Amino acid sequence: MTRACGNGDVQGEASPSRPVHRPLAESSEFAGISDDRPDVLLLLRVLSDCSHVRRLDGTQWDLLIRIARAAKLLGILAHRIDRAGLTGDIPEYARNHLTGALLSYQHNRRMLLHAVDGVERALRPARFPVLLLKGAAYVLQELDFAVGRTCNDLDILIPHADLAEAEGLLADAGWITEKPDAYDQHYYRRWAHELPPMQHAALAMELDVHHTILPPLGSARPVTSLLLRDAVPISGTRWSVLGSCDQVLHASAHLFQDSDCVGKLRDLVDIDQLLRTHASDRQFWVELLERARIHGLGRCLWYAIRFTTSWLGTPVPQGTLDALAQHRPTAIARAVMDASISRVMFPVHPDGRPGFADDLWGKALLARSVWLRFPVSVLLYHASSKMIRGMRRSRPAGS
Amino acid sequence: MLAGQGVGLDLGAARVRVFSDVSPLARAFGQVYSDYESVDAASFHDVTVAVRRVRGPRRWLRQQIEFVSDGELPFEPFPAVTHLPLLEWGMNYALTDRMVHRLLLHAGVVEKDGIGILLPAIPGSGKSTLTAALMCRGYRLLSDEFAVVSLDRDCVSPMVRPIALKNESISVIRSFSDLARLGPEFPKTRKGTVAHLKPTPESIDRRHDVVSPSIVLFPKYQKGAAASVSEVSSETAFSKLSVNSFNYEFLGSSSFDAVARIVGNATCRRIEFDDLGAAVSLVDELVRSRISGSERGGRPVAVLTG
Repeated sequence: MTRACGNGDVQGEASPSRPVHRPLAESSEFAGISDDRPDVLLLLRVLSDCSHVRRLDGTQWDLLIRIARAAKLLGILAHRIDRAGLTGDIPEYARNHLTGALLSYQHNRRMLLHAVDGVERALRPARFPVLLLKGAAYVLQELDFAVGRTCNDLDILIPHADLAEAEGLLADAGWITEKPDAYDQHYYRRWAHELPPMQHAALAMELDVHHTILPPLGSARPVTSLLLRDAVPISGTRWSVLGSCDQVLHASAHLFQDSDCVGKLRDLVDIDQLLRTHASDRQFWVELLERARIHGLGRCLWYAIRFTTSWLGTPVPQGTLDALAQHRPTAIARAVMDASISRVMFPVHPDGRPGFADDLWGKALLARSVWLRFPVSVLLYHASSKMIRGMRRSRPAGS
Repeated sequence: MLAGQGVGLDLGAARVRVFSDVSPLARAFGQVYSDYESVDAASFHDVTVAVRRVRGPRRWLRQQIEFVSDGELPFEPFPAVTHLPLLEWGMNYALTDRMVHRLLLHAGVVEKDGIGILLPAIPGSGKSTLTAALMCRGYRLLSDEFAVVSLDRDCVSPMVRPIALKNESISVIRSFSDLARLGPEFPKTRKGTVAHLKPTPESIDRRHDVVSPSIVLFPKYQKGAAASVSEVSSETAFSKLSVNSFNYEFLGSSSFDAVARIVGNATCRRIEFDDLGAAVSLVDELVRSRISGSERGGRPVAVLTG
């Protein structure tokens, strides 16, 4: 059976009476994406309906594979094509690369599960809850969109009160921190929502231990106790994951509050896929709004829905869109964000060089994310400490 | 050509599109790749690579060049004079990164009279020199760098590219054969002096003819040694082959099966040599005995029976 694969299982079940609101909608097919990015237009077209690959010629396959690989979406695309039963319709030269991307994914998955096992063994004596976040969660939850998706690291969340115990157990099991420098340790422990990244000699995956989902002094401060209280256990394992609404909000906050969005289309696809996983559940949308309000993440959710609906055709009920309007930024902020995000979220054209303007937009977004994460006093202290330490280090040795 | 639409190369197992705005590179490239028919650069290519001039104020002092593939820059910039070596190393990198659907062994591959020979080796063992010598004596070159192994069939695909010869090997091959056609020499690269030996026209013409390897031959250059061939157990051959791979672990059990198939079917030998002529004669002998059937494939690897 062939299914429209961009839309997963959901579209058939979602009521057709729900209008899909496109807040960015303009004349072009994908708002904000100009015709000088044929690679991006092609990628978005295939992401929203992968049966489009039936019509591609060699030149288009060439471009699609290169831009999808650069966006870390080739494996995801390969799985969608597979699931839709389209693999047989694809020329061999292109199929080879899709196969390769799935082999890469399988390797990455083995490495991830191996690391998950290692952490499980290390934390076995502990009584506190351990949540898997992001990629590892999607894999253990057996979400379909996790197939083909590769992870760079393993993210876990534990209660702040249990950090010391967790660190001790992980250290005993051979997880060592990469940043032994006293100031870096201080930075992570005072102002970050995670410990310095840890590595294990026998495991090929970095471990990030979080105690909440955003830096604790930032402008948005999610209620960590609720994240933990409403976590969902994965049966048959020692793991839990965030509740479905919290998962969407975490992904949204991670992208629109905690990052500069540069090259992060894959993170947007995650949000799209999480939303589609629950889209047919009326209650989900009601809770999502309520949960965003409680965590103070309404603005992040607004951005997430603006860009997923505009570029990935995510089906969002009109009622949700209307209710979300209260979190809408000012017209100026919207215009700036639209312009910058649509320039930086996609990889540079495979044959192009990053332009000066795109670079500036990226830096502006980085500055924005730093501004949102830290109060001014911390920024000044951190910047001056880094500078002083930098100057000390640059002195010749022995002086 | 390199500067505009790019040049399409059909290497056999992969098509590579090459761009460059470095004009001396265009000349050296044209010299080394002159026997390849051009492929429509707009059609599908497995790998796209570019060597370009580094922008910025430094270029007025000393021009540097960089290798880029699909927006990714895996290396630090190089001095502008080492253009072709940078392109070739970059192609190695990009092919390894993009051809993950095949098992890539670090080995030379040649063929004569239907007998495929795999020459796996670590750097310094004389693999490229012996591969080059065999090609100069009429063996068909499939590859000097990658044995491109199919995961579901017992076969190795050609990836026909110039052989990068280093330091003494360059003069050794020049004096070994009048037929050796080399590109320009590049002194003072990271690996010393490098020159590229053009593949024979037959090797290029037959770039789509796969072989199933009948001989696995581990070369070992040994100064002053009389050329000699000795037996290698299937188990040793298996472990040496799998360690000498770019993506063995990455492919899981299918790469285990592929290497086991090769070793199970092939005669596994080690060749120690100093004189290239004597080495080639010994390889000729191995090929003849394999054809006449007096040499069978090694016994199946023990681990396979489990």
